[in-house]
Amino acid sequence: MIFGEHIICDFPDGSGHHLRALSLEQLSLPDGAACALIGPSGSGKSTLFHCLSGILRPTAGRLCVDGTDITALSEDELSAWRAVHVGYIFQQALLLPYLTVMENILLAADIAGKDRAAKRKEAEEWLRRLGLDGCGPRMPAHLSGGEKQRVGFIRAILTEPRLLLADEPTASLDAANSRLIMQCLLDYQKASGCTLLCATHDPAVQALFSMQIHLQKGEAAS
Amino acid sequence: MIARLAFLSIVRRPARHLLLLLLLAAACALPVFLLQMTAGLYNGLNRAVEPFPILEGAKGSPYQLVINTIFLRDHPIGNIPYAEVDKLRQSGKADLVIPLAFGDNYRGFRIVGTEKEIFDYRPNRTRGPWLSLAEGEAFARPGDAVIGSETAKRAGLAVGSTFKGIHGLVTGAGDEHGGTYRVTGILAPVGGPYDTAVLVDIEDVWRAHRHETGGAVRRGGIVRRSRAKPASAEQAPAAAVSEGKGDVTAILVHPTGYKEAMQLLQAAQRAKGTDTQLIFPAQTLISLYSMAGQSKEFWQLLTGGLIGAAVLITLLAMYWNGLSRLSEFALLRALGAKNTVVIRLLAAEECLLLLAGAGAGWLIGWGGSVLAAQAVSAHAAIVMTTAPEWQTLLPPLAILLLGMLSGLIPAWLVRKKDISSSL
Repeated sequence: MIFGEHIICDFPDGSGHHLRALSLEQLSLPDGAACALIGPSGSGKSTLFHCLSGILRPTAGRLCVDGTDITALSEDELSAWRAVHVGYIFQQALLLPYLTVMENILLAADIAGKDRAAKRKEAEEWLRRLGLDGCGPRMPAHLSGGEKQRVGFIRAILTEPRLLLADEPTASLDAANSRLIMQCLLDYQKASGCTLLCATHDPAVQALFSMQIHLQKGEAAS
Repeated sequence: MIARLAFLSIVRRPARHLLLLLLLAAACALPVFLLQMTAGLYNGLNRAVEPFPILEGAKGSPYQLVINTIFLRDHPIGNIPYAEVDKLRQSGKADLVIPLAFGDNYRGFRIVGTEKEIFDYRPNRTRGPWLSLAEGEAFARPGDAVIGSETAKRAGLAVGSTFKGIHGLVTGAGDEHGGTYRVTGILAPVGGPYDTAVLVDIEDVWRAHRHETGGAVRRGGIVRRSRAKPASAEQAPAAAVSEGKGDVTAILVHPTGYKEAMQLLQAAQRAKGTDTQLIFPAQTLISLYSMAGQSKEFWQLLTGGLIGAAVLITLLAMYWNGLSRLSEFALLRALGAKNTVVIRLLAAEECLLLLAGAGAGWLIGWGGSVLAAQAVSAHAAIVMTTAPEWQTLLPPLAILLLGMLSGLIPAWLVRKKDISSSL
């Protein structure tokens, strides 16, 4: 379960003042939910994701994920928690250019301290299932945008996270690839029972979620 | 995982890292080259002078005496009578007194008339003879010659080869002597100008010039810088042949001790109305160094400047290399890598790059100095030493240490910075 209250995220605007990027009175999401995060640009979707994953520490407020108050964790504890509990799918796949597809996928598992050999087998299975059979030894530069995003998806789920965050995963994809990625996400969420939060502008994607959170200029309305 | 990632990051982006490596190598190579060349030059000069603790020669420039006798270059000042050799031997203040007579060459290789004792001469008692034979034997009969290792190599002479000496000290100039020399021995390399010498019995030099001048001393030669008897090409040491002993150009003296050396010097300074001078070549060289002091300071300044520039280049290169990777480090952090992992990864990468760059730079700088030293030795009298000097380790060490520090600044930035902005 995700629970947050009085969450505020401010950033310095460079002129000695602060810019409020996120202000949430309360956030509550049941365990195993699949939820769309909807809102215009600048409404704080990415900021909320960064806070939920522990990449960003809120200026004020409290955030608990599966009973862990992540705002109270130290930097190192937060990193360790993130490696094991959070799967993050970025808008751009963000693959390391000097690692092969397989090495990129296994990177998150390596960081989380998972069994490499077992994860390699799982990764191969996922690559086959997502139409990327034989892509393991290829470099990311040789993949299309859709293929990269699928690789990013496999990297995110390989650590079996309890919280899966997808930040505009279809923003740079065509309709076919968008459908494929969303299908993968929802199928995996159902199968694993993890909590899925998907930020999106796309009405077609929004329509796939029965639960939605709307952010308006940093304010949430369920 | 860290070492593997660092290694893959470097080898799988060869173009990017090759440029960085070239930059680091070039930054390191220049000061290494300059330091090695400077040290090699000074060591070469000092090593050449070492076997000559005291020299006696005709009055004139002590530098000319050193350059002519030790470095086998330029023209001799003039000649002095063989009686000076006897006088030094009878003084009881010298272990060894060896006459040297110049005036001829073979294809530019200086023919040095001397006595057989030179092959037993040990400038340093703990070491072997200065001029030891690698092949054959010392001269024993008229016309025998012992040649330096470089002379043998460059002139293509071997034991048993014969050649004719040329009158004078300039390659290609002068007349061929009637006498033919036969190589009886080849010297082991000495790492100095005498590698390019042709050593013959001093009697042969006198004989050749007596033959040349029909028994008379030829006067009015190329130079006459002293009141002593002239000794350049056409003024070879042939005087007093009627007395059985000719003139000598210089005398190599190895004193029995420091006190005796000083006594010899004082005696030479006290003597009035003589046409000779007695010098300590090491002192002459020091005086030459101090004359060139300003030039040395310039080179030191240049070397210091180059090291500074190398360090600056390294600082910038490593800083920008680290900075350009911020988004990669942010991704690693987003995947759950701790700050220490990112810092260790960056440090490992930079360590590999800096080691490779500084190592390659040191090799290029030192290799270049070896090639340059060989070129210098082939065309000049100085045999520069090429053994790596400890000072040459300073540029790579400075590059390694400061490069590591500067490269860690971006890692520190990642630690301090909000990584969400780099994703």
